[in-house]
Amino acid sequence: MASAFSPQVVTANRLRVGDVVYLAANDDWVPELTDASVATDAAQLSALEAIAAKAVASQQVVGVYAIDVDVSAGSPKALSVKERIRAARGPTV
Amino acid sequence: MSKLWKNSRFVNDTFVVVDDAAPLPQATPVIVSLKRWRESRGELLALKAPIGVAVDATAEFDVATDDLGKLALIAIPFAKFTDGRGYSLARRLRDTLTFEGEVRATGEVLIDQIPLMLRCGFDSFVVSHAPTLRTLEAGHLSVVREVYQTAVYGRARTTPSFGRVPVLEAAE
Amino acid sequence: MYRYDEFDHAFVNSRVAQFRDQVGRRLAGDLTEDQFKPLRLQNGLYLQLHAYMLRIAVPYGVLSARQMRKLAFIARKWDRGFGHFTTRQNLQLNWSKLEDAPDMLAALAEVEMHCIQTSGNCIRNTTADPYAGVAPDEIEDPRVWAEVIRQWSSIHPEFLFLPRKFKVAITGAAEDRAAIAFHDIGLRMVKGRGENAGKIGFGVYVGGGQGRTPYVALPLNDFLPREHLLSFLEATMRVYNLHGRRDNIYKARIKILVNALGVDEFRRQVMAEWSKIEKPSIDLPASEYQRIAKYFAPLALAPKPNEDNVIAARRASDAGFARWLRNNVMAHKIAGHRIVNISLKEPGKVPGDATSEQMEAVAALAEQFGHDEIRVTYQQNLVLPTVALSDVGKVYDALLSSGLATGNTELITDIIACPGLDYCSLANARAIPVAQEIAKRFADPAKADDIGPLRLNISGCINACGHHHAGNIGILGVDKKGTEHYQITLGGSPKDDADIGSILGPSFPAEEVPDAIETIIGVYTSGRISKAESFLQTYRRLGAKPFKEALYGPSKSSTQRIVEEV
Ligand code: SF4
Repeated sequence: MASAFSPQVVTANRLRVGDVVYLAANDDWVPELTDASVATDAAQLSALEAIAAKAVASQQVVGVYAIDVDVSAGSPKALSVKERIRAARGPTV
Repeated sequence: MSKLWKNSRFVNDTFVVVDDAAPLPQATPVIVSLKRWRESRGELLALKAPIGVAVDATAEFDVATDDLGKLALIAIPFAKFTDGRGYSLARRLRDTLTFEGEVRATGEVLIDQIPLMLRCGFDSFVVSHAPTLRTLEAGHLSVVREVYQTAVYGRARTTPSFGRVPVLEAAE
Repeated sequence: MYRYDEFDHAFVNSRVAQFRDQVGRRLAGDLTEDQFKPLRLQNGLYLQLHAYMLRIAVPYGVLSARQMRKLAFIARKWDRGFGHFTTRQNLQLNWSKLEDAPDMLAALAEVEMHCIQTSGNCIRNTTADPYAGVAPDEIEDPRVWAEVIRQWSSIHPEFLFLPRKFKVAITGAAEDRAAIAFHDIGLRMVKGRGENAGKIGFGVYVGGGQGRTPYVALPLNDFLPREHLLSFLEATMRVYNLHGRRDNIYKARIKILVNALGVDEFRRQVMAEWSKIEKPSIDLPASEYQRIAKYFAPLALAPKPNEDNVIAARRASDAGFARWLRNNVMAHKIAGHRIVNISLKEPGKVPGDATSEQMEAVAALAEQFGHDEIRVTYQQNLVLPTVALSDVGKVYDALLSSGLATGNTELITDIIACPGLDYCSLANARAIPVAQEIAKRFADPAKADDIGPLRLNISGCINACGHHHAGNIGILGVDKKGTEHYQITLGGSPKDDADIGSILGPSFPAEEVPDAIETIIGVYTSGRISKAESFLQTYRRLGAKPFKEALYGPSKSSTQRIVEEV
């Protein structure tokens, strides 16, 4: 059911320092959600998760998970309040 | 591959773990389940070999009938290293039931928990986690030597009263 | 206060070295995150929404000026120049790095502090009456026993992998200011009666707690001779460790075990275990008690007149000062001295936050006027426990210039709020902005004064770090179809009349919460018999109905709206 797949990006924290990062092209982890690679089907998501698993195994990142994003404006935007706050890299207060 | 660590070094395991259904070997130290010990106590004692009992983490010992003094070993499993019941079981064995035999830790035995296990009265460890094996081989235990509690180490109670003693020298 | 001896110093230094080694092995790949996580939690290090958070233990809420300065220094050097005081009397730094954590712990060790067991499924920092040692209604100073418990529980080898976290609170006073009814174990020092006449012991309560299933603690032992505290705790912990549920994280706290067994059966098991324990091997020797107790000997204070002309004159002419004096300054057990509460709740600010500069300002005041003592309260404020009445004006002026002179202790703007979704990865909703908006709504001090004593508590999720269950007004952040909503409870109390608040009705979106609170307050102020009747008393007298009707209207019963909401 490819049509039911909502676009996702893979996020984590850098193990050493804890910063929020997103998986981008070239297996890079970047601080800006807008630069992240977007998976638009299950196969792409698995590919991203496989890259992320390697980054976990090599002590680069920790706490990997996928989040839903809105790509209607081009670059990905977090959907949930939590992920919007996280993507802003700081509290709202 | 798992190895047995005891008295600060790796040693050969003289005990054989025997399943409940399997026949008992002759003249060999065996480890059986608590159930089998309770059911086949006479037969086991007739073997004239050291007997060990493997319990599970919910074990309640029956002081009246279990006759722990006849046992050479009790093995306590850590299904996960985060399951801390084994620590309390060991302390009950050592402090309350004054069990003098070997208390063996099995299951997920990791380097950072071994010092805690030692202090609760474990004195042998079945280790299979590779970094733990490596670290033990290198003789490096990451330990806080100063303790505030009563220190049980193996069979020796190093202090009779509320802690504040450096311990685990013996584990080096 | 307690001072480390060589042994204690060696202990914390070993702990720092151990954690440094563990961090090194984690970064080298010898420890997976699953294996490392409990180890870092036992050293207070969480991975939060934006970064690592380091939770520093403030044992039973007691700090010296030197320690407070070090906290300010650590926050500035390795974090962002501020910290958040928590409902567990601890301090959280929100922007720590794993690679820095061992150095931060080493810096703490220099001033006899640590992060040991501020998280994880182990015995946490014991919380205590913030007025311990100085309260006029005290039977015995509970800090001695809190320190004993700190030492006994630190790296207790048997109890580091409990089914779930374990929190102890202790009070030695007639009035419970430590919320002991909401702890896994609550200890209250009591005078013995009958065969125990003339002795001091503990009333022991078990199984209190908030979270998903809130319970008020039940009596476990009416009179525990104090010299047997440790063996009794050890027996209780052992029963819990062996029998607490490990299959379901939401059912793993001791309160679930106690309520599943019934407190009588739980007590029977504890007593059976305790009877088998070789008590002298566990209990604190008298010599060790005396060694520790010496550190908590009362200050040698000469009683002074309880009136001061300068203060009285200023009170008459300076309304702000008069209000602060009335709300924040409490009686001290020695005449002519006062307990000074320092509010970290200026309306519009983040509840419980203090900048490094503010921490240093408080440290300076403690040195100059406060006998080098500072306390942290579970209401997320600070206390100078001993200030001479004649110095109170100077303290006020200094607090004023540091933005710390808000006179709102235990008023509606003295809001307890957890970090919520702004920092916490477990949150459903933000807590801080809601607290700020409510506080702003009641920022007029005359309004807050008129409302009188009121505990308003906000949590960002059902874990209840913001103690919403125990609030006279409680606010709980919930996730309603992806938006932040807030459920309001009324009637909770953290004190001797401990109670759990009841949910009033359907939840509100954030922007409607201040209005809803104002409506609730309106029902109270128009319904109270007199200004002497507190919010809680009025609520208990009137029941929830008038509040419900004011909020949801009489036409629609709140149950209907709840059904619609689901
Ligand atoms: S109550 Fe929930 S949101 Fe608030 S700090 Fe605790 S876990 Fe986080």
